[in-house]
Amino acid sequence: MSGTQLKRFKGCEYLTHRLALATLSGTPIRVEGIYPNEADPGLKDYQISFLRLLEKVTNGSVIEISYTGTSFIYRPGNIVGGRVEHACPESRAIGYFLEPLLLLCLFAKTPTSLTLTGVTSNNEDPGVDVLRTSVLPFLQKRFQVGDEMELRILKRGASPNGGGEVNFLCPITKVSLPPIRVSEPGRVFRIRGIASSTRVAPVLANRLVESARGTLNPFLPDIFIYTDVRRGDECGNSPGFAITLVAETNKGCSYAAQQCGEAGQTPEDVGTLCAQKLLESIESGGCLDRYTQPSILTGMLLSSEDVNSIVIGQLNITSQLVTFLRDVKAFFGREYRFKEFETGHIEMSCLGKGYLNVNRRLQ
Amino acid sequence: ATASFIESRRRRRRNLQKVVYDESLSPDQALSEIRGESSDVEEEDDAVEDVEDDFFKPKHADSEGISEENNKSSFEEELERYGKKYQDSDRLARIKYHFITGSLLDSQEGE
Repeated sequence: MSGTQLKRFKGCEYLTHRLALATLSGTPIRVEGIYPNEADPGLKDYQISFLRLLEKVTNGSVIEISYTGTSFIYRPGNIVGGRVEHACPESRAIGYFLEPLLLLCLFAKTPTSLTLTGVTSNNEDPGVDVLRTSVLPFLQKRFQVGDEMELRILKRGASPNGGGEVNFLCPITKVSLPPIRVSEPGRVFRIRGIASSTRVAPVLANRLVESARGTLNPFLPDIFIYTDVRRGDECGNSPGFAITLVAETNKGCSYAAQQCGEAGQTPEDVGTLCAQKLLESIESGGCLDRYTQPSILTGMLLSSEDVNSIVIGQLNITSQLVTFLRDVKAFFGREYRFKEFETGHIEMSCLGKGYLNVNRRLQ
Repeated sequence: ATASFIESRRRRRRNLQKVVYDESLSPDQALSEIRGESSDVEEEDDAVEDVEDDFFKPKHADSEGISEENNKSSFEEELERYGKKYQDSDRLARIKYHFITGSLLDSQEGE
């Protein structure tokens, strides 16, 4: 592994996925120019924390951070998995740390049990509810990894003080992932959701449900939003409330939206906004939402040597996607092909790598 | 958004593939290129202004990759933007087409 050449990158946008891809491809990387002009230059606490987490999940990784923190070298080791515990800093939600690892853990030496503590959801990162109710089922269905891939929310922790705890269980894969071909998003036939609250009056969760339903009910009768009121030991240190909505289509695609309430915001506004975000995602169409996208695109790349294709909506095209695609090209030498339709949808296709789990123990 | 997006794509028929993998563009520039926002003129204007003001302001929006953080808008702004967007009854009728309850023949028929 030391023979492979060091790949250089500038800037640290979408760093977590770059690191995950580097780990999967076994390529050592050097990232330079990390927030060089800020008052507080260099890697942020959550980025360092993610590096430490990768170090725990792998064996033999080497991380060298420069004195100022504006550049670092990462030489990935083998992915080992196993029982890992990690305390995430409160500046980012657990989803920031967990989401890039979802597929990575499939290629570990042993099944993974990852316990993460910190903030369970905020408005920037994928919340644990989105991962559990939208991303994981999609991955399970498309990559046929079975029910063992599971995310348990043991404690909810709202921003700013966190204190939440989740447990992610992931099996290992013995064969390469099956190719994906999804062209039809289908139509939304049901909407499910979770309104959760920690350390606040339970009525807030009900008010969230009420307002979200108010926006969505004209479209669909089949809406069920659960309430998850946590108190005492089941929740973290801060009061907070949040809502997650997932729309499922008859072709097995799903769109998710989430919104967390912050100080001074009414649950009515939060619920309505979340419902409107869901509508936006549905309107944009495609077979993926932005939360599922990186995992699926990575999976497409790694799958058995066959053509993979998926249709995305124009909302899915973000600067993160562009960064991600360039990183994929740098690490795996594969480009995705784009085909645009009159409807504004875009079909992305690529040839799978036939990536096998090289870390697993041979029986 | 859909209609305007398609419209803009027609206007500037740029090869998506080329733009995405063009390393001379930063991800943000590539994105505005894809979205068809005419960036060249505006950006030059910005650059001129920047020279004058730059000295007194702390630099924070540097070119390489913090768009992950800097595209946050406040809750009130979002609330207003989405509220406006989803009051339009034509738009709502169009969205109906994406639901199983909508008519299969025509998105306008709805109900």
